Amino acid sequence: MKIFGQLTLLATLGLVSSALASWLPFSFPGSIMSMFLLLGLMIFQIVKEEHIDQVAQFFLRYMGAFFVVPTIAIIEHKNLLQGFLIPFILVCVIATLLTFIATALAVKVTIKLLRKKEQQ
Amino acid sequence: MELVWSSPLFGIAITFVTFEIGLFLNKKFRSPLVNPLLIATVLCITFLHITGIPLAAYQVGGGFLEMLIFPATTCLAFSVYTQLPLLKKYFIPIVVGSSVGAGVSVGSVVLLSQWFGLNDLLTNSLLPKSVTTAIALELSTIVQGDPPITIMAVIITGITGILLSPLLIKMFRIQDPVIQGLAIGTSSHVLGTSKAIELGPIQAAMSSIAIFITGVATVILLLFVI
Repeated sequence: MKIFGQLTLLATLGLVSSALASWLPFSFPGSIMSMFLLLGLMIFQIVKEEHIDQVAQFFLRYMGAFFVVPTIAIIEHKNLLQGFLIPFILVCVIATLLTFIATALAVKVTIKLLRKKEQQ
Repeated sequence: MELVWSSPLFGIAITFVTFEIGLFLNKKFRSPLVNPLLIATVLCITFLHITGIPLAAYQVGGGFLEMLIFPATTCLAFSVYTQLPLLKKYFIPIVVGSSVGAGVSVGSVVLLSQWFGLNDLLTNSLLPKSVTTAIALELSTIVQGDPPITIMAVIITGITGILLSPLLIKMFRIQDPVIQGLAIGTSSHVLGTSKAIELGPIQAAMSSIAIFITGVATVILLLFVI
């Protein structure tokens, strides 16, 4: 019964968020709207942890399984990568390294500045 | 036999069985290369190829599972909520770090793609590569990329993070666990977080929060800036 109630909450949230997203003057993903909505409801204690915990833990644990279907569609799109596979992988790897370094540097500088401000 | 694979249960069952095999192998070998999503995908493609069952038949049931990506994305809010005290404590460094990371990720993809001569479709597919799959998939469609190619980029990015982040931490002498976790989560999403978990509890928590903030920053960047 508890799980059914949690699923009902999740489905309703999804429906309301899709409606909200469609009313926006720009295109915005309904699922991300739904994520914001749930976070807001939880912060304001309208939805409590025990109202969603079991279903949320299930979805988070097995999220990967839902992505198998869109990933398999790569069969139909494999020609798009033909001749570009190595540069494609290189862009992924180099961009990831640059992102890591930039983030670490930005966080380090921010923490340093905040500590300096605190001391003053 | 056609009756079996034309049933929606065929796609669902084959996905669950192959993903379960992926989870089992991942637990056994504990290697980032043994990723359950990657294993399930390869096994499903191999199975369809050997049996000659058309992809469309698999997608009948698969479509039901694909629909569940929406509620799964919503549940990311739950994982952020459980880390709320840490998010409040380090709010400014988290927002600054993840936003800078999101910007550098998108910017470097654009520049490197031009440099390596990738076409627009591949470049657009690569743009959301540093965010978690659920958000990346939505963004890929919006920026006119190709979702399956985006998922490949997301997986390669995650594996890169797992393999190279300990090396980068050593090379740049990053000792603060907050910085370590944020850099891992921002650059290599959920897969990288599995490495952060090995490094320590603060790294793991910061990495999980970074996934959410980087996702939001990338959405804002791709929808409103670019």
